[in-house]
Amino acid sequence: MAKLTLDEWVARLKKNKSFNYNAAAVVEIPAKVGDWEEYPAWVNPHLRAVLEKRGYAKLYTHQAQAVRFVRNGQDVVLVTPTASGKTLCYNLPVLQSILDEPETRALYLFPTKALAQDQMHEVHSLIADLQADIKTFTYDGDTPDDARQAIRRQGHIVVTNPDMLHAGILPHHTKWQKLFVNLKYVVIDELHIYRGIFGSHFANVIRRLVRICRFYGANPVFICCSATVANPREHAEKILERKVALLDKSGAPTAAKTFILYNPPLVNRELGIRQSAMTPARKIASDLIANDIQTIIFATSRLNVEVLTKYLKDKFIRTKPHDDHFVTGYRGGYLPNLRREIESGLRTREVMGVVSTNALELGIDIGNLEACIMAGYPGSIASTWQQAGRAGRRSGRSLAILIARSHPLDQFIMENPDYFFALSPEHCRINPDNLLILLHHIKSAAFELPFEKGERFGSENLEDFLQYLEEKGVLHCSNDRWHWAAESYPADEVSLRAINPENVVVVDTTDTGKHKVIAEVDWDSAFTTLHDNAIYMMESRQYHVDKLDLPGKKAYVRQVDVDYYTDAMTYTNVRVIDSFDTHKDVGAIVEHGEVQVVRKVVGYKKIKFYTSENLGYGDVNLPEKDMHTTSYWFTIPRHLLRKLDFSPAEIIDGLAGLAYTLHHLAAMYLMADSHDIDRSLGDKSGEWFVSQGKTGRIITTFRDGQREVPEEKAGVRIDEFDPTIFIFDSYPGGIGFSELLYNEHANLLRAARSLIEKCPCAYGCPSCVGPTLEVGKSAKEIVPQMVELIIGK
Amino acid sequence: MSSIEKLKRLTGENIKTPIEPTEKNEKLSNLRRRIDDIMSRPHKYNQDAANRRINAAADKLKELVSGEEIENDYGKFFLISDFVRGSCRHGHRNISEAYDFDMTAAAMLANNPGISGFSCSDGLFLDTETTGLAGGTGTMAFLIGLGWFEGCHFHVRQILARDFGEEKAALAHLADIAGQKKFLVTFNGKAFDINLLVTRFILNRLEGGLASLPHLDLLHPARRILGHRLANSRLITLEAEILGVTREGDIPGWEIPQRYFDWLKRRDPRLLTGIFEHNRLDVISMATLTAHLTEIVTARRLIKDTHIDDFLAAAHLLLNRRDLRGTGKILSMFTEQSCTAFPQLSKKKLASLYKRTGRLTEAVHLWQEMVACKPPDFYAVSELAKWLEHRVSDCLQAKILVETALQQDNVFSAEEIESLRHRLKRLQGKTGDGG
Repeated sequence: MAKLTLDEWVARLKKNKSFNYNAAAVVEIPAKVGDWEEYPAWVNPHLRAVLEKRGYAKLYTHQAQAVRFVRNGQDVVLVTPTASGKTLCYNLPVLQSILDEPETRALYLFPTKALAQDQMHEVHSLIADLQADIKTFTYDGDTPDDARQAIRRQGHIVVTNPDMLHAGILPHHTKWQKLFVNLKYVVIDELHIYRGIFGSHFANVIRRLVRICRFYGANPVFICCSATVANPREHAEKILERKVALLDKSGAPTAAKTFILYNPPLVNRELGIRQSAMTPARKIASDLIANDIQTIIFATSRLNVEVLTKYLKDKFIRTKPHDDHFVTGYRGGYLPNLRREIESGLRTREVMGVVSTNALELGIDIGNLEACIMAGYPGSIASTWQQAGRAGRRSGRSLAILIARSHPLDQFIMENPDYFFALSPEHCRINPDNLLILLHHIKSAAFELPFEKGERFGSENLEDFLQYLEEKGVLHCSNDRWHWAAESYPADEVSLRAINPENVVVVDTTDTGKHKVIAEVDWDSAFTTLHDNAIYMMESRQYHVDKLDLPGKKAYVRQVDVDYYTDAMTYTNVRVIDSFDTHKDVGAIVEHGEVQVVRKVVGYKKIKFYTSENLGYGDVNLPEKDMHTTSYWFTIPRHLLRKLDFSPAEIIDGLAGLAYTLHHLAAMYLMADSHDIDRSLGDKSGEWFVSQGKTGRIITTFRDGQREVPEEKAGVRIDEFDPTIFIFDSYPGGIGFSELLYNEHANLLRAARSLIEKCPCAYGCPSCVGPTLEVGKSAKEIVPQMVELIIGK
Repeated sequence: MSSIEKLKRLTGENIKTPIEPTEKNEKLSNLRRRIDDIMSRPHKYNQDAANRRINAAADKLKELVSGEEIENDYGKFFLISDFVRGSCRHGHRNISEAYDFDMTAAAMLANNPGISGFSCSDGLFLDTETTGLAGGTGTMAFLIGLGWFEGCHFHVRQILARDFGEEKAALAHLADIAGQKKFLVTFNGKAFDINLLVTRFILNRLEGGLASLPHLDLLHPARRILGHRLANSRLITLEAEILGVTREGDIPGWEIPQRYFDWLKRRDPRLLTGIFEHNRLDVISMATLTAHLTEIVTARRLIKDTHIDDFLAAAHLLLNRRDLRGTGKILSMFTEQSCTAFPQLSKKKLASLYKRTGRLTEAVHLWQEMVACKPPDFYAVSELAKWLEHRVSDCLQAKILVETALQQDNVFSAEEIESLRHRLKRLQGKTGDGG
């Protein structure tokens, strides 16, 4: 059969009736014409010639404006789409400065090593064309020792990532004297990535950086690039703690794009189950790839990436049996060499289909993909546009399809396409003064330079912290200066991304003579993906986890070929430690404060490929994860609940359903990652809580800290407890979400009621109160009544 | 609630569990309140008390250690001075015997020819005691131990920063002393001490020319020349095994940082005395170690604590540095008779050196000796065969040699046998012996 071009393929799709029925929106984004300006007079003619040869006969308006601002010493944040020539906005002024004054230095920060490597190549080639003596280097964990000294002394542009800056550069800043004394520019790319926990850490690293620059008498200009979010200027100003100019009108021309929002059909209206997003994703992707249309498919979890890759590989193995890389998976856990291979394969079109997690969302150059399929809403509108931007980067028509899952956020987008297409997406929120985070960085900063009386670091009272650390014995005060007085190295104690900095290494023992490391998984994910007897998937190969050695941080796996995969089950228990604030609502007591959260992986489900049947369960014996964080919660007095005309079991189901809805709505309100918060249903004292068991809901009781054997469902002790719904921050110390939720309590509950009432399902579904298999058939009926109970009419 | 209290809750301290009020608990909470009151008294009070402790401590320190407080433009610090007479013994040597070590040899050990133009008294021996081994800007060198020769005697100076505030003055004094010297001698200073001091100079905004001084770091040559017979290359091991120095009740290095931190809080000078002694011995040992190493390299025959392999290792080092004369001088130490008593491995090293320096006669002699031993040594057999074949053109002898070696009881590895067979085959071809 003749192959279709993308235009033809899209035209054919639009004529398809069933497709049209399920398409929530088909938007043709027209091509945009460019807007240019002349180069400023001060640009070095050689530099200009080099840029002109790359196709920049003139500058886009936003580029011209950016380079003007930067040259005048004004900090900027650039918010323009992918492929709008953002890198020129910083490379031009930096290279110009170095040409003017050869001692000038610049620091480029990228969130990952991979991105840093990629951008370095670009600058390198510019310099090569310039034939100037300008040296750029990446400085990261992979940099060999003997190269490090040369880079410190001679590197004009040092390209690195926040982790390296935090642990490798700042604590050794005297070795970087040459860099700091002459530092004129700091470039921060993908600024929107620095939100939530990572962003809070990052803001503190910047505080330390600025502090050290001041020590050397430097005052660099900050040039930030961000994807489109609602509050780029506010976000940049919060990170940099200074005024920043916003440049968000792109002068770059863009190609036409067809953007489709697709909602898979309901396959079971009663249960509210929709066809899995993976099914249309798989079908559309294989059709596109079969037509030689290079396609990227984004999946929402590593598990889904592996499953989808396997489906597609199976499909193409018949036509291209020898080519293992024709369709490939991609994720952060793959080792660097493999990732480089895949990226290169994409550029050369040897790889026609790639299934990825959001790891490929960021700027790594992968060439000119034509179509992008998103199997599931990536969790934020900014991410969605980033992912869609992977198609049609350079020119020509491109296609982006967002396929919804049965999930409240996805369905919300499908129901409200305007919300998506209007330019009012999410906020980046950080809390750089999270006490635990701030403490770590104060320690690191004290290690770097002693603190003097009257200094400020963060918006808390610094001296309180310094005295606290003095009491702890890590600081010593002498002549109103606080010095680091311990043998340890504070930067090693904290990871910027996770609570626990260690990774678990996956060791393949299939070949008994030669064990090899095939992947690395972060500590938290290891509990759910590498427990004993899990099926770990990588590159669509399956590995059975024989043993997870937590103290040794190793997981021993063996390659297998089975027809199922595994999915972990966890329980969560929350206990109130302190209430910061409280108020009484019509039918509930609303509070926020500090809680202790215990989470435990208790078992796993075995799910058959293709049919998604549940093949059975297994037990898991892993330690609990225990942390303190902040939370918002409300408690409904049991005597009020008794007034509702439902059985105690149904009441529990209703509460679980309400918690489900609130969790997802809260994430949307906060415009946070849904992983940044979590929920729990239980009792404030932590003595009983509700979790999802193998066959239904179970109530677990704690007495004196000991877990009792869970009861049968009948005779649920609703009459002995006042149920409480918790929505808590997923990270120790809190990211500052719970206070916001506390203030928005009434709005949240009203939105919950509205979402449930508007949902077309019969008894409840994953899009509103949760799957009926988990919440029971009456949840949908109960929840609106509960809400009325809580907030009144 | 203050942020510190919130912090304490987050880190798991101060978790209050609801208690039924009882009389005991009331007393406890009273006590708690009183403690809190005391704790929250103004910082200044603590500072005054601290100052008084500091002054008292300064006097005590002077009593326990012979030192004095010095003041310069940057403030005060504490200095301990010691004069070690030439007649004093340090291990196997008198100090005067360590003096006047060969400067050319020292230059070779440092791999810096410029040093050969200096004299021994131009050298500054340096060793620091620090608040941690991790490096980085948060580590301070609170004690800087220095030493130098003057005439055949040895001066030791120990510069102590009694608190962080005294560091600048201490560093300035170091810079003054270093300014009068021409090269540095350290043990692992290149990787650690000097890096650290340079960092401290920058942090204190002081000019310091330390990094530009020629530098002999004894660790590397010591490891190359003596490492073959030591468990590790730590100074304390070298001291005990090579220099003959025994320390009584020495403080282990890893205890030092914590002692200094304890001193900062308690100001008990007894915490520091052990550190001074430890550091003093380190500095003096570096001086005698320098003498020891240069003596080996210049082929000065020593009676005690030298080992043939030390000289062989030194010769190897000199050869790598292309100092043929120096290598030859060491090799000339060995006469035919003395070699016979050497262990096989040493013979092998020596023979290899002979060969590389063109002393084939001596090499051949050794190979012949080695071949005569049972079981035959692969290296010796190959080398002798090669010599017979290519230098003397006596293929027949060579063939007999290899044949015999293969026929005898031997301990050759599979590869060695393969190599000898290959050689034999070629020799058989050359001697026309097809068999």
